[in-house]
Amino acid sequence: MEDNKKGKSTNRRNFLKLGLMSSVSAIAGTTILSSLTSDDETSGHSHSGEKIRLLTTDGKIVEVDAKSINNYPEAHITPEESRKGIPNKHFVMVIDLAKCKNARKCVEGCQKGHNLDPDEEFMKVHLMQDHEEGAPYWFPKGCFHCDQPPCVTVCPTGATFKREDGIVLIDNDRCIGCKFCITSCPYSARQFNWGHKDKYDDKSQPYSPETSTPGTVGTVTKCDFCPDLLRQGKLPYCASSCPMGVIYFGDKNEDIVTNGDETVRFSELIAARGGYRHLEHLGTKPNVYYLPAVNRQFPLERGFNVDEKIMDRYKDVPLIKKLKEEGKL
Amino acid sequence: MILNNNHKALVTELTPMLEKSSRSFYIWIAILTGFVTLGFVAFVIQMVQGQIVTGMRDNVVWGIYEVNFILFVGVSYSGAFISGILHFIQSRRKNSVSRIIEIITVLCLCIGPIFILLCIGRLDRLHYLFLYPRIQSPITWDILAIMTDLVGCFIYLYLTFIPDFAILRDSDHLKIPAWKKKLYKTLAIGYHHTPSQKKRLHKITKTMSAMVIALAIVAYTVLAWIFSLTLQPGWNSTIFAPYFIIGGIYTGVAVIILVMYVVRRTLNLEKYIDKSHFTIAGLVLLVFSLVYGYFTFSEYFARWFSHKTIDEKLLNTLFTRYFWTFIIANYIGILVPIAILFFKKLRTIRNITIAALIVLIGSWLNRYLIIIPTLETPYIPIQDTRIDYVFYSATWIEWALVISGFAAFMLFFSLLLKIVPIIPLSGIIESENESTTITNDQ
Amino acid sequence: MKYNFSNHRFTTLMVLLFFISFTGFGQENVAKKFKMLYKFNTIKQADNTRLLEVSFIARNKKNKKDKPPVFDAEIQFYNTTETEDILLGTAKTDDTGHASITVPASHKYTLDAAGYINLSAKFKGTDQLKRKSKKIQVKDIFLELDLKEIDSVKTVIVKAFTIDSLGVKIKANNVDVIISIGAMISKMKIEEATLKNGLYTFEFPTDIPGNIAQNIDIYTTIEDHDEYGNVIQKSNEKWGVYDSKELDSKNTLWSKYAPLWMYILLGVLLGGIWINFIYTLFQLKTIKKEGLTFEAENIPKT
Repeated sequence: MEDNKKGKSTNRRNFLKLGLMSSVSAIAGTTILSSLTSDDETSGHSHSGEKIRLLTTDGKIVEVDAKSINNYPEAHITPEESRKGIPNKHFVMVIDLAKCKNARKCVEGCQKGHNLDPDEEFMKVHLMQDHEEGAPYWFPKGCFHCDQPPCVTVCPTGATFKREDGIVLIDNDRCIGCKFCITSCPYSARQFNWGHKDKYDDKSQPYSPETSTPGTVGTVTKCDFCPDLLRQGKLPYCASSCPMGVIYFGDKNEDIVTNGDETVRFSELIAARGGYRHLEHLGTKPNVYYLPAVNRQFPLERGFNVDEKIMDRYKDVPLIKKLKEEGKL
Repeated sequence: MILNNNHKALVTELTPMLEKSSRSFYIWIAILTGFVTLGFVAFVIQMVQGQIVTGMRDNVVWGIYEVNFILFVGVSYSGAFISGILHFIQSRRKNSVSRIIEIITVLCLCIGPIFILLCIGRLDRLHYLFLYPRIQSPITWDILAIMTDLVGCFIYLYLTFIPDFAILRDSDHLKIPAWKKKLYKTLAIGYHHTPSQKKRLHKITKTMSAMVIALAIVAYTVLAWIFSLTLQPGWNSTIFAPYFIIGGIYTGVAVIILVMYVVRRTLNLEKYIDKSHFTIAGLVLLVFSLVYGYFTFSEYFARWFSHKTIDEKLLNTLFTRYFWTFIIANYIGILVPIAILFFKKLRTIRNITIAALIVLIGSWLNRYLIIIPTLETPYIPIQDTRIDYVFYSATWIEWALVISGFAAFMLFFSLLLKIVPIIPLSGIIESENESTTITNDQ
Repeated sequence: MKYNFSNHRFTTLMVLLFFISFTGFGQENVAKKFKMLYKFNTIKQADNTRLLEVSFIARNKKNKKDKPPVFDAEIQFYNTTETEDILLGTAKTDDTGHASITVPASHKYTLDAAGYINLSAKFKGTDQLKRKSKKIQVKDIFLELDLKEIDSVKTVIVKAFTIDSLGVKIKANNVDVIISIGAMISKMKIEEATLKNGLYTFEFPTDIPGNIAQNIDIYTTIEDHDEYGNVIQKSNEKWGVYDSKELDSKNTLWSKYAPLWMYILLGVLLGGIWINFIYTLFQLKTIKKEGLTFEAENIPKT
């Protein structure tokens, strides 16, 4: 077994450890079975339009619509129901900047899960350099799901709303597309569906604000913390796709967060590592916390190993400018 | 009222547009209709294909539509404001221009909101604003304010029209089609200048004019709040509401001067709209250019002086990428009109009109600078592969619609001249009567 | 755990496949491009049932990231003995390539001479996929988890024992256990220990919130033990300190309903304005009426 040689291979770890370490009493009442199978490469929690590849016993590779296989064991979450949220939860995300090397797996996992096009990113990885002398760092960013969300305040129809579990969702059946929420979000978390796309026509599954799919032209969309997965006791796509365990996710009430690999006390993690929230002074009270990029596991340059087009995004960062001037890039 | 011959002559003089139309008028209408049609085509394209056909993207979600929205609504509110104030001023001169201002007010208030609708992705769901209202949203306030203001302005405008409709109804000598006569009769609602009617109409017009002033202030404040209540670096400013109001009046006065100039030239109303009107309007424009310049300076100076990182970044953009726009909008657009209007010698009708034109262009660009560079400078730097998501540039669809907005204004203004006299007959006749009485007494 | 590879037909199959593809008949069989990852595992669960699970995933030899699960493959689970294989159940792999059965706690396994349960999971193979088989040896262990408040100290007591052929309990020694608490997504480890004389005791932390009812699920597990394999035991106690704060149902800017003063102010403003509009229209009506009277009196009818 090649996997055994690798020892710590993700696949094996998920197969063995998650059986013991994943929560059996997941909210959706899933069995050990489904908890055991949270390997993203192979499992089928993808959305409509998304195909999964299977090898049949007669030696054929078939592509099956992910939704045609029972992907949502529970009842469909209607827009009305999705306004309430998962009871007694308060979701938080902790992003460990010291571990991020711009592998972009979170972006890809999220895009796959939400059926997004290549440049559509709910989760983005920015290259930040706070000042000329400051150390640059990779900065994965989705929606902060603020406790005092300016986007929700300004919505004239209640299309975007704050749930009891802390998640800020968008009901794109309700959204009139005024885009006021986009201008009032100081974190540029929101995006607009500018034109029609064929994938919006896929009505094989009823629309739920909890999955953000299918999209609708002329409405706003954004990172949703994947409440459909949370209901199944699974991590959001970004957190489960990250090979470095950068993204921790959990319930603040429970005070426990996990990155799929290790599970820790939220409060202790924040206290020990100097966790902070981005642009705290704006008073939005985000639910995404960052652990500063100190004692890094990887040199920043490891993140340069991306597509040229992606690399081109960072051209205005002082470091990149400097490296280009010196001809090192 | 029984019109004497004097009055009849006056009516004929002031209503050349009502009877016949010249060929050049038809050409003018045709050109404007052409522009409006172009805008309509652009609108249909945008409706069918979505806002992807515009230059707006995830960062700059509001483009030049919003610029036009602020400009038109601002002109409208300032029109309401000025005409409300004029009502309290007992001056013979005001009669010549009050109708122009009122028409500007209502037309702009009808055209302006169309531009905010163009920014809305799902016009088919517009009724959700009333189905699921959220009172916290400044958009809700804005919608309520615009609607209330629109109704208020219509009522006010109608009140000021009633005596004129009555006179036109009684002007049997005018060669106008029967449908128009019938229209005047209906719209005059049996107004016969009886003392009781006069008193009643005067009373409600007075209340409405006060109300229109208040509404204009409230509505434009709410519009400014759409920007200043957000956390965006270029918008989150406590002086935005008064700044917008001053800016609106500034632009509004400029538009009034421009319209006065055109109306005076094309309709040969030199006798009624004379130099004194331009001088007074020019002085008002001077005052407001000073106040507006003061507000503009305060706004940018405070940002520059306190130099928060993000403000500094925004100012840096304004002085590099938007250098010439900034110069035209906030230097030329303010200082040149001040220079022209300050010296008495320079205050000719032509110069005042030129100053007004500069003000209008400057104001449009100023709104552009308020909206677009701010949206291009978010807290988290834009790092996107798609260049159109990084920088905004308007597409022909947007330009077509923006231009057709101005064309529509001129078109409807011209068409309204076919129905109502541009100089309020009642006001002129009344003041003539008064002066006659005074002369008789002497 | 011991793994038993039974690939003896591999060479034959490969040779066969080679010929088939060479003559152009095997175009559809892409299976040979893949390496089969066939894994078998067992967990003794809290209710003493035993979960047997197979993970059957293909991996592209050229592109290791391409790992389609093998779907709908029938897996047979056996309790193997020296003489025969006792079928425990069969299951088909799902879309994630997993197949599993749960053997009830009451099941009496046939043990081998050393007291081990021998389990195997077999895939018979098809024309296109070669057969697979894996074996596991585990010793049955009984893991107990007691939660007691001793002198108002919340104490966790972990015990483990085996039962020999005579039915005598033997305390398990030198077994590593992990004690964790249940959370929404995964369990959080709070203690790691080695059982001495079949026992381990420790104080439970006093600051774990638990769920809204202050309940905490506490687990103890043996992971990947050479003899006992994977074992899990679970218990539940109201030891949490969850602070069930009152839900903030205040009317705020971001809640569904606005602060009260906003409704009042808006109501007053709009009410005042619209009442005036209506009053104005009412006055216009009066003017019209007066006009009609005037017309009746002064204008002769034609």
